[in-house]
Amino acid sequence: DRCQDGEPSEVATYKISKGETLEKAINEPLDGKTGDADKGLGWMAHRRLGNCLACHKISKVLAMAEKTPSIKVTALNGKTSSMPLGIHGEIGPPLDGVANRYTEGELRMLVVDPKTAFPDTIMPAFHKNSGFTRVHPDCQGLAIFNAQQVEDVVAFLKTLK
Amino acid sequence: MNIFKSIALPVAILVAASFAGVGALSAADGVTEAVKPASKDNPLKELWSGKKWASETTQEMQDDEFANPSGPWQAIGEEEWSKVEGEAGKSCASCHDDAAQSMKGVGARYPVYFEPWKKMMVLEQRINYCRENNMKAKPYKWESDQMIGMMIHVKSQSRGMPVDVKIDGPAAPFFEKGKEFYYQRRGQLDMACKHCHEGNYGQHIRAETLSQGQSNGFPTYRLKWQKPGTLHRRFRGCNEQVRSKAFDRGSDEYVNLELYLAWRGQGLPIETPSVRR
Ligand code: HEC
Ligand code: HEC
Ligand code: HEC
Repeated sequence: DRCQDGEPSEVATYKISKGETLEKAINEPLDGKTGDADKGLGWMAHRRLGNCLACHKISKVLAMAEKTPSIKVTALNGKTSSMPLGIHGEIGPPLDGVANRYTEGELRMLVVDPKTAFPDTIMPAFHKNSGFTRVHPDCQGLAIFNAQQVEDVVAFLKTLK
Repeated sequence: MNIFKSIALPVAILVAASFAGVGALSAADGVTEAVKPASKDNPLKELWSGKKWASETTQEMQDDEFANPSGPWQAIGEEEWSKVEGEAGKSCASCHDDAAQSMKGVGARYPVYFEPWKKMMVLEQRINYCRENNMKAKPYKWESDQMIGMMIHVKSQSRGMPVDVKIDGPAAPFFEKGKEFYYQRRGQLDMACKHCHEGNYGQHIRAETLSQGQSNGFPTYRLKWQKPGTLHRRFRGCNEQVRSKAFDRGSDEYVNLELYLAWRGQGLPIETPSVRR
């Protein structure tokens, strides 16, 4: 049950284009989905999904946490958990203003597979389900986010101006 | 913040350390002072025991002989030492007499190359080798109270002595394998040991502070485990948290990794039994 939160097995096919700042970008939304930023924050805060806050500080989210210390997130398996918004790590750069630094297509590429931009990075690929070494049997063939979740996260990242 | 504590303590230890010399350091002293790596090939420029990033209360728990929660296991180890078991009618003490003498320094130089096996041997395996071959007794289970107790009993005889493993000669190919393991990305999260313990130590990953992932304190009492655990238990945990399939305790993979990891901490004082979150 290491991957119990409904991680999807399908990954979308996508076209990689040239980015502006980064070499690679995915300019079209995955599977033509429309993202929902509020949901995106939930996927990012969820410890077993994005867990982005474990590594990235986001001032806007810290400010939100003063009013709402945690949010309820319902994972794909239907399980609802409460996830804290106020505990941020410092392994990655703060994501404040990230939408000014990168295009939407670049942000999408970074969430799908950040190694396309930073080959040595600690940051996981969130929409990839193969090419790993010795994956735990519970997680075999699974990606962390499905296409919709990637779009939700990208929608939230776009608000970070 | 208590300025007195944060300034006065390191100075006191620095002074004590400079008089005592590395060999005489007590378990407490690996903390506030960095150790210079013995080899210039070590990717770490300075070595820190994981104790550096443990909370003050956890550090105090470790340092206080009576508050250290590994006490009961240490007592089991001492008892096992002179307990006669097996068909040969012997105990460890029959051959090794006083552990304070015979086991001094042993924990600091394991794992070693073991000729009959043509591969590396970690201390748990040496203990069981003696049980099976010299006592004709049943081996301890890897994570049993007896094994952990005996590990603490043997390794604490080297407390304060610098980690000093041999990686040349017949050990060299095993060292290379351990190194390869350390740098291999694994699991669905696709991270290698180095991603957490080489580039990011001292940084917060959520509320937790990453250490250099050093082995000098094992077996370690983890508050989370509510008991002391072996290094290979920790390896399994670190593999599984990146959603990788762990290896068995005592597997060649972990034995070689243990050798490589010991070398990364070459010079750090043995701190067994340490206490961590
Ligand atoms: C285990 C740590 C970790 C996690 C988890 C993580 N990241 Fe990252 N992220 C990093 C690091 C480190 C970098 C910097 C790139 C590098 O490695 O040099 C980065 C870079 C980025 C960047 C580019 C930032 C810039 O200014 O260049 C974005 C955007 C990003 N991450 C978004 C996310 C999102 C969204 C999530 C969760 C869905 C996430 N990250 C999860 C560690 C992480
Ligand atoms: C019948 C004799 C005998 C008994 C009983 C015995 N050992 Fe040993 N032990 C040896 C011999 C012989 C060696 C090898 C010494 C050497 O390599 O220099 C050894 C080596 C060791 C070493 C490695 C020492 C080093 O310097 O590398 C450890 C640790 C050890 N024994 C622990 C134990 C423990 C713990 C027990 C009881 C559970 C035990 N032994 C029981 C004979 C014995
Ligand atoms: C996702 C991050 C991550 C990865 C990858 C990782 N670890 Fe850890 N490790 C931790 C955390 C968190 C701790 C507990 C805090 C600390 O001591 O760093 C820890 C603790 C340890 C400790 C205990 C240190 C002590 O002082 O008690 C050792 C040893 C260790 N890791 C070794 C490894 C090895 C070897 C690998 C690769 C096989 C590895 N780790 C991979 C996060 C990681």
